[in-house]
Amino acid sequence: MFTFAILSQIALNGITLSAIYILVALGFTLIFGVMRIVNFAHGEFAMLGGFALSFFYVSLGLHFLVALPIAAVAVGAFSLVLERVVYRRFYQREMPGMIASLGVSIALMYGGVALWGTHQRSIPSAFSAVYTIGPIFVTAERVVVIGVCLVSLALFYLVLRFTRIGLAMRVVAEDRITAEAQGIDTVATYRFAFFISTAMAALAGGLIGQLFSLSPFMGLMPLVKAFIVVILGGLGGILGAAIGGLVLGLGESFVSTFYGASAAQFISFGLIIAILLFRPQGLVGRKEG
Amino acid sequence: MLDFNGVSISYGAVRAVSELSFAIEPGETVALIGANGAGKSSILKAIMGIAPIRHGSIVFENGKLDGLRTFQVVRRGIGYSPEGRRVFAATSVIENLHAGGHILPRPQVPARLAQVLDYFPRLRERAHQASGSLSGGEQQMLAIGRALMSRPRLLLLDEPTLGLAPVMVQHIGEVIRTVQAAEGFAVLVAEQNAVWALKLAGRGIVLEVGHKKFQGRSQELAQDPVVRAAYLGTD
Ligand SMILES: Nc1ncnc2c1ncn2[C@@H]1O[C@H](COP(=O)(O)OP(=O)(O)OP(=O)(O)O)[C@@H](O)[C@H]1O
Ligand SMILES: [Mg+2]
Repeated sequence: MFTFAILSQIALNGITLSAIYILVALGFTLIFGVMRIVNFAHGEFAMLGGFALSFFYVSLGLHFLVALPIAAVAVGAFSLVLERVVYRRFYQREMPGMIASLGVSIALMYGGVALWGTHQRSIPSAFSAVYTIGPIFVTAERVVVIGVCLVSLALFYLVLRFTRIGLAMRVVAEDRITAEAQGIDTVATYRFAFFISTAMAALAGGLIGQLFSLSPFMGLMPLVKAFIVVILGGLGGILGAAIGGLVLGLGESFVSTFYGASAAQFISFGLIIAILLFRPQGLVGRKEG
Repeated sequence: MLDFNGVSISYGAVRAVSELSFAIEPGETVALIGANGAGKSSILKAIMGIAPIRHGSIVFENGKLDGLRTFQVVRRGIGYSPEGRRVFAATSVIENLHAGGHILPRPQVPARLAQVLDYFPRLRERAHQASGSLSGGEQQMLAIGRALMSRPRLLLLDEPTLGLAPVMVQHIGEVIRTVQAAEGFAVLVAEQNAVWALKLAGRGIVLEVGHKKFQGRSQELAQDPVVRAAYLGTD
């Protein structure tokens, strides 16, 4: 049964999952790194992204690849209202921030129930083509998912590494007061980081809605995955998130193919507990000073 | 150019500085000297809007600074090299300097960067190294260079000689003098190393637990028997 074709098919599925997990985890770790908020509502921004995509793509009939970024920007913009009203008061205060964001998470989830009901819906496939590359089948849908993730990751990297606002985010993450003493408006920097983070979550949510299904409760899965990726890869880095995401996505794909989905969940959480016990800084992370 | 008018600084119930007044003229260097806890850092932090002031006001070039946020103070023309250097350890030397130039219009950044690297050639050799891997003296140069990036008209230096070897202490003093002669900014330097600070500065203010104990021209202070005994470690 371990033919090359099967193995590559499983790997491809795994990479698709990985791409989404990395997208979710990067935003999650960005907010933690820059403002020290463990954002429990991160998954709900993914959920909102799914519904926003459904609105722009299904209801308004925009092209999928136009609707997706618009949905992400819309969710990012909406999240700035919450940033202003709730999050801003909790920056650099991990415990209260965690509880506040848990509140936001539940409020958004049930807000979603009130607006859209509890039944699962789906976003009709935007791309139906199937390509065969040698022995493997590649659906256009998966190509789009991987492509969107790669482009976003590349953009994220370039912004963080080579732009003024990217450097501002990095130094604010390192030492807020000293960053402000360089003339950097740290509040504006926070707002930007928050926007990027929730917009990336929304992007991932749109892709999840397209691949799987849409429901007000769909935010839990991405949140849990973000936690696992961050524990695997260590908090804060792009490289860590990429490695953590790949390990998780590929691992899940292989284990669930051969042993079923519940075995995959069992093993990924078992792995997490083992890592927390024996290598708390993550697979590639360094110990925090 | 800077007027410190009856300023009190408190942290909760702890009063660090009480109703202190002094002024700085354009281009001059003033030293704040005093023992641990005298309130030197608090004064610089109050100017930067990092420590809150309770009474009084701080005026810079006819505009009030108190009430401004720290980044706005920088935009008014003040550069700050904090105590303990606080370089961004995970970012490179060049990126630290870029952060210091955050308020410059983008097209001016490369020229200013080249200029600051000319002032500190050691930093040019280390340009792409992570700042955390620099020696203490190099980190101090970086902290000062970073503060210079924004072309300040007033430069605040908090303990620039702390923990440095004598050669380095002397070198830092020379660089500050050279750059100041070229650019004409004023300097307010907080130091425990009173001998060094009074050599650098034209005037000195001696602080004792938040109060002004003495002030005067540096030579006079350096010769005053009471000051010498208490702060210069000589008699
Ligand atoms: N963040 C703070 N919270 C509470 N008290 C503080 C704080 N910062 C300073 N203080 C207190 O204010 C007083 C003045 O401190 P400051 O740091 O200004 O002194 P300093 O002259 O710079 O001393 P040093 O030479 O040790 O740097 C001290 O009694 C100090 O304990
Ligand atoms: Mg001090």
